Amino acid sequence: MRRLLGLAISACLLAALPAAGQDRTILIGSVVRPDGTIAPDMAVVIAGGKVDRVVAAKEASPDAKDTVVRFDEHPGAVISPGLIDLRSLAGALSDAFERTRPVDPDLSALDAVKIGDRTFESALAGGITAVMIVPGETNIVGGAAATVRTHPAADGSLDVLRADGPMTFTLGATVLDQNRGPTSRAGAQTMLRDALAAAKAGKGSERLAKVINKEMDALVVCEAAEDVDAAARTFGEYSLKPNMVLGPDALEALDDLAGSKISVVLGPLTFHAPQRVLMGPAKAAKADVDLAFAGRTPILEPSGLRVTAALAVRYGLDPAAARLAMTRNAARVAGVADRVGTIEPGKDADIVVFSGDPLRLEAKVLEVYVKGVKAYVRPASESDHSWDDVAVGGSDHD
Amino acid sequence: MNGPAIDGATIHIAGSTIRRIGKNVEIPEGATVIDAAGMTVTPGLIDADATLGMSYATRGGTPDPTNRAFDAFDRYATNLFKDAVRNGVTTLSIAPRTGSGITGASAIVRLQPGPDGPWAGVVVKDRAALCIDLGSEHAPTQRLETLDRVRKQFRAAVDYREALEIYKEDLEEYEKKVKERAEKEAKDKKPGDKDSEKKPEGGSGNTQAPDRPDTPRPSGRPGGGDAQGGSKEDELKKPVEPAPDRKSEVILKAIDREIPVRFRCETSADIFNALDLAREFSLDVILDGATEAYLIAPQLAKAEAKVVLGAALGRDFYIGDVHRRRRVGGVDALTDAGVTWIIGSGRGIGIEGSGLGEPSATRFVLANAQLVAQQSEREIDPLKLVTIDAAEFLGISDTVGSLAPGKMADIVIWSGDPLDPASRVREVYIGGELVYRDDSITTASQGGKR
Repeated sequence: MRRLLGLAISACLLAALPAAGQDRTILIGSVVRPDGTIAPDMAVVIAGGKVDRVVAAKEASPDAKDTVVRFDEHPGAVISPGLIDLRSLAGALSDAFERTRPVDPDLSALDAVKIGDRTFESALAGGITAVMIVPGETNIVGGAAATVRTHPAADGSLDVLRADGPMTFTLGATVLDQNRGPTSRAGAQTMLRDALAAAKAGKGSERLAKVINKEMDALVVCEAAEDVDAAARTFGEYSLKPNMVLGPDALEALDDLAGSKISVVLGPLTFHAPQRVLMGPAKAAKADVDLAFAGRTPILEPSGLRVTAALAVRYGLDPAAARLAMTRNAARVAGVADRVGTIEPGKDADIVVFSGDPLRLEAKVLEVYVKGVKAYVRPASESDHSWDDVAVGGSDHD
Repeated sequence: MNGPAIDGATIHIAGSTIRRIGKNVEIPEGATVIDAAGMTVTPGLIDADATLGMSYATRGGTPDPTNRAFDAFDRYATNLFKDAVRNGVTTLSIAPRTGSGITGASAIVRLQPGPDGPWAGVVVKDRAALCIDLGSEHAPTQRLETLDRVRKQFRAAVDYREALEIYKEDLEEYEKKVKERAEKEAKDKKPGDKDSEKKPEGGSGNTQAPDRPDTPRPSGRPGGGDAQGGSKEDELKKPVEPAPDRKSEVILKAIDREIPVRFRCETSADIFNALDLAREFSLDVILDGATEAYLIAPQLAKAEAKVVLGAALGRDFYIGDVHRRRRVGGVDALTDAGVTWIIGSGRGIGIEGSGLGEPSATRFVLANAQLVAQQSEREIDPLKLVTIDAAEFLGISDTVGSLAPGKMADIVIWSGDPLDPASRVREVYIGGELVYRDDSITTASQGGKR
């Protein structure tokens, strides 16, 4: 794997050299459209790291310099936008949960992310090209989330899609703490109100003031339905409508959110989830909110995001909506939808080729492109079954 | 599932079994016709390592070889059964969940509605295997203790058999001597005194030796019968039968390879321990869970061990804060080495978050098989894994696992390809009886969408 990564990095360097003209890569197969449906026999033309155009396969008209990639062994291959996992802890497994201050708006999740962490590679191999890391879910005001690519930038550094946001808030039992407070839901709510009021008065954190002035988006993690109510009330006082992450016990509140035009993040769904929870995404779709999924890699395996989508579909969610929840809608929640999340002209070419519909769990990740560069190829079948252990604690700096 | 898919087939169910299947099956007069035009019909799915029905209330307790999984089967776990059936699952292999050690015998159960409850299971095979949980999730010292306890139980069973054999020999010898003496006495008293013929009191062996209950368990040759036996008439003692040991009797079934042994073990260390035990007592060995099986695939092949995987091998997982990274294609290592494996919904270590090992995971056994197929470089048919492959593995393919004449009519009608999550189960038949139906899904001939 390390060798592969090395190759990929050198490929990056080559691509970064001023290439004569513009070398294009043309991927041929079925393509996930910006509306989440799948169009067969298409060609995705990639130039300069971006999607140049998406046309019918027979109109691709490649010239000699173009690299044309067909997936003849996999006639059902589906070219999908790279998957985005919201609420990931990739690269920050044990470092993102600060527990000293319940109100900690100036914390940045990006500070916890380790460059070159192995968990990024696993995510990439699972088709996840970007992860949003949500800081301090043990704090009422957790700080700024960050969204990073799982493949490093051309110079080997962390490829940051967004460093400063959304601002994350958490309501629920996880923020309660006998030592530092708050010790009750009401207490937590008071702390939140105080922090917002101070920011409004220009006395608190500048970042929080940005949220109040709608210069920065917000994401509220709600554990239970009453937390959704509380969030709506408190943020409503400042006429804010933050996006929300709903825990399994907060799904009842979906009805109240109907027509609110916010994004709702659900998941991960596991094999253990009760029926009520499995039906949550379908319920969200009915409530006409923008649905996005969280897969929780690497706490769950990278495939957890696709398992979430597949189970949601089995329990009533429209397949196109499920694909959008892993891509376009996730990019919107992370605030990076201008660059990634769909395969459209002008967007960065962060693309995964699956051997079939990504909702079918047997579909394999064949290739992953990040900014038009091949970042992962499924290893050839002369399988190398070796393995290695890597400590995930602070000691892993290689 | 034995062969290719048939388009436009007809299945003729008679009573609880399939009578005929094919393109040109004649529909007998008066038959109830089930219309599944435009749908996909599959056999009921099999979970080869289920916890479904083994409710929390029945877990814990003492591990005991005489435990039987079916005794703990909660037939009133109606909602869970329903959810399994509406996902197409109709057959389960269940194991006792009583901590670590020899936990008892597994059973294979079909989810048939019965007279005493809505989902009374029908046992296909009781005492299908002897189950041993090596407790991979526990600390190393605890695991060693478990292993030691198991080995002692097996040795005790071997000793018990030896004692029984010695007893049998001794009994034969004793009876022979009793007979000899009787004949001798008869010869001595030629005139034929009637009373004296009865002399060896408590003689012939089928009374249970009520005398001498305090005799210690036979270690050497108990109860007389030594070389010079019979030299003194009065010392002729009847051998004492060893007290029946039901635990050992169950273990002996495994030692005699009447039933296989299913070891629940995850780490390579525990798997090696299982193989050691299997070699020592020449067991027919199946590994349950076996997260790290692919690391030692050649050794498994050599030991002829088979594997019921819980999770797709080759995924990332964590033990404590150690991140064990897997290459894709873990199952291929098993296939390459020639190890027979299938998939269930059982626990895998370090992947607790996935819900595997929970009763509710049974309903997603097909999805779990799909994840396995995703990890493989080969083209694995996930549906085959949880139908005919599982049936053959469990030795129940004469009853279930495919749509073939003579097998139970455990049939699932899907609105489309079962591997497509957008497909829905329209109807489920178990033993020819309708147990689930979703009327919102209409067949092609009803003019509805697939």
